[in-house]
Amino acid sequence: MSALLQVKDVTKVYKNQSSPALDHVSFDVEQGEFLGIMGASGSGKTTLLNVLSTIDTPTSGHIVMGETHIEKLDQGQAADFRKNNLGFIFQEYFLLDSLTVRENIAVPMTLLHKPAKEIDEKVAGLAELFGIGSQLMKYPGELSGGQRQRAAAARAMVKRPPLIFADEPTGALDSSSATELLAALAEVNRALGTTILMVTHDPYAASYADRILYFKDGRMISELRRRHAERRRFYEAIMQESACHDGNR
Amino acid sequence: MSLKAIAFRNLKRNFSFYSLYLMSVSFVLTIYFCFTSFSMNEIIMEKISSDGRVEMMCDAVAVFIMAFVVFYMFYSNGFFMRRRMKELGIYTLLGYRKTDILCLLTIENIFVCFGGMIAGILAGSLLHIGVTAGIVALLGLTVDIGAIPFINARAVSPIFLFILAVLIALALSNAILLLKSTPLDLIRLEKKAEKPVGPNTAVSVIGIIFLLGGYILALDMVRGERSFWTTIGFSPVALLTLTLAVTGTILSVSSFVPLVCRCMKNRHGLLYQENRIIVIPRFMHRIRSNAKSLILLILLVAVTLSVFGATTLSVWYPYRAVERIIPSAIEYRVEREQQSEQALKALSEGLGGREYQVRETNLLKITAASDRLPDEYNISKDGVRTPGFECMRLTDYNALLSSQGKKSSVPELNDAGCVLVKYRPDPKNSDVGAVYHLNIGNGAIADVTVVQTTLDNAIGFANSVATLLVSDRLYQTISEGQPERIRIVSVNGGTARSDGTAYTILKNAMPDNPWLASAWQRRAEIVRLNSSTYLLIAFATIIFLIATGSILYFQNLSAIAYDRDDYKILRRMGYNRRMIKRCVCRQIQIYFAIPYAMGILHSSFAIICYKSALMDDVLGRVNEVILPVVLAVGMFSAVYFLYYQITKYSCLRILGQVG
Repeated sequence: MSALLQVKDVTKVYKNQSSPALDHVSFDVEQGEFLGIMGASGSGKTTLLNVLSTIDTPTSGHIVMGETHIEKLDQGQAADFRKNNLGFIFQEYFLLDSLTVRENIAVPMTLLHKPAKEIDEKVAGLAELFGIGSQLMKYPGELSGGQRQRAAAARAMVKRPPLIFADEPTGALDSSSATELLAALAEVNRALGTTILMVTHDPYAASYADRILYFKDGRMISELRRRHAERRRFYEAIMQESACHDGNR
Repeated sequence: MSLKAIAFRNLKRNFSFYSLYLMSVSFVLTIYFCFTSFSMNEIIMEKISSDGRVEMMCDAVAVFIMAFVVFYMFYSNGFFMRRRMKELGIYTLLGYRKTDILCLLTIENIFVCFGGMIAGILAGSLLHIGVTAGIVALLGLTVDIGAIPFINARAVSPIFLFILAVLIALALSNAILLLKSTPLDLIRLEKKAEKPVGPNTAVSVIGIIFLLGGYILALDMVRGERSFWTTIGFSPVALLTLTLAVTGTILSVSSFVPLVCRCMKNRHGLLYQENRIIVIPRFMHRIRSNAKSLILLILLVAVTLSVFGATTLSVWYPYRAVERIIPSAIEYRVEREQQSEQALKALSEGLGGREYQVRETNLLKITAASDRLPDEYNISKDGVRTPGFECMRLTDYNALLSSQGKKSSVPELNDAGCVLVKYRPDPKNSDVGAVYHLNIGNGAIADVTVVQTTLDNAIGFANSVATLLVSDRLYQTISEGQPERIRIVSVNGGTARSDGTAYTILKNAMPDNPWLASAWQRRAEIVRLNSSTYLLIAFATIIFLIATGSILYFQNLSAIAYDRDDYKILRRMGYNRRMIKRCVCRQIQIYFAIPYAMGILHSSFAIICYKSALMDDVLGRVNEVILPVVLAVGMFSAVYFLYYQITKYSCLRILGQVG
């Protein structure tokens, strides 16, 4: 597999903070990989996600996706980059309350100026895939948390971006909804080859990933690979690794 | 911490937020105080109102202004209450009683209202001095501006009592709202989702039919005596028209606008564009509260524009109509030969070599018979004028017109032809071809056919309203029959039309001649009589404009602040700054455009109705109606556009903090 995203020696320092939020972080994300980022609160997970997704800029280092040096993009270029290459799933769903589920999922496609017919077909297809086909005319306020998160996932997927960032996507879901969402993400990753970078503190959610990177105090401290193991085995390995990190605190 | 301290800190912390409230209240109170000071200014009232008319109008306008200030302050208070519901809910969760919260709100209102009052008194006094100086200059009054006190002490106590009454009313209103709400209500009220409104096609159609009905009835006024306004009665038709327009507006906005939005939402080819997919559903989502505001704004804009447009027209049109009412610079009927000669001699001496021309015209008053006698023949027959034609020789007409600086469009006439000078325009030329049997004396009759009609009268309407232009030979024949002669002296040229010197000389020489008329004097009189009315209407217009603009401003600011998180999401999804800006602009434009477009439409019909009902159309030139209305609409639009720009800037500033 080839690297889709290369993170080289990235550091992020916020004003008025003595220690860096990210401290010389380097790793690659392979094409079609499902990568999990784990760590305790304040370990730099969300900062990493913000920096990689062009929402924030690194203080130093390089982030390369294909031919593009993400850290060099200005605000307009960054917006275009997000529009064309990235999808987002957040813990708080971030659906637009005044738009129906159909319209919410359609927004990224309208940004790419796709024909209405194509947008409708893709929205309907993904809604079926995520089990929300009958909810398309409803507003987010009328859906359960799980349905909202699946709508958010469908919105992230609809334009078939090469890379999806998921920030604690199961954080606000019950276990059943969380399992449904994670299974759907894994299926999209497998069937469509979409690369997913998921930040989570939940070992169960992380067990759906192919590889886990552990962060502590802004630094990458270890890596765990699934290597074709069963999900349950991988989950146990994650639990052990997490316990080990917790013990070292 | 004491409530007073919390209130003060709250005001200090949210100064930029409250400054808008304070500024808008100050604005409204400035206008109110300026108006009160003006209406209590005895020095100026003595000069501009001799019959108590202006005082009466002041009292009437004051009621409107006070009603509006009350409405506006209630609106602003409601708006700020909604914005602070969550904060108030937290206070209740922390253990503050509702009476404590009411005290807090009242203290804040006292700060804002009395702050606004002090600013209003100072700015209003300054504005009052400016307005007074403007009136003095405009009307050429001899008033010592320095004698007018900067702050009219008599006007202070009414504004103080008024603010006190408003504060008590606001406190009561807030108390009712707080009593009705539970702590949970307070926390949720701020971001409570609105119940979606299902557009109703039948109601939309009824709304549009009502609106069209109102417009058609307003237009019906143009039919004059055949209109429903005359045949049924003015009051019932006026009431029906108003009811149809208002109900039509309410139904159209609450049902037709959502229907259009739904149609756009359902047409995905149209909807799936980066701005529309955000703006249309969002507008539709809040249609319930949007509709209320839009209805209010449409009616406000319509009333403002109608009143302002109609008043501008009422001043402009008579001013321009002087051109026909007194076509010469000065004109009088010769009553005593000797007096006229002395007057002209005095004029010659008084003007001392300045250029002017004097022409005497003899009109021959005769009667006629015809089955198509024009309206002009019998005009004012119940008054001083005896029915008949005033015959004028074509040569005299051409010469007089030339001395007035105009070119005659009347062709050469033979003895069987005549030209009728019309009082009101007649686009159908219904008098052309009419045959008049003129009684030319000694039992003889001369038949003449109207070959043309014209609106270019050379003699003022006070002296001739049914002028018939005849050939020189026919004039001679009529003259031999010894009819009644009307001798008219016309003065033209030089500066006779633009300054009052010549008129003053003639007036002094013929103080008892009721027929002496001057274009300059008539125009000055129009300005004198109308300027105070115009000024009072301008006060009301400014108040209405401030209210409209401020409601739009707060409404949009609140909507954008509410949508801030949505814009953050859009930024993450790939919307760049330009796209976000366009979305915001479109969102604001909808709020501004609907009241503006519908308000202009309403007021256009209202002004057409007003013009047909209450104005005597003697000019027959559409541009003389359109121009003042366009001027009024233009002034309104300029201020409206300014409000749009300020609103846009403020909204973008809120989002400037995004991402």
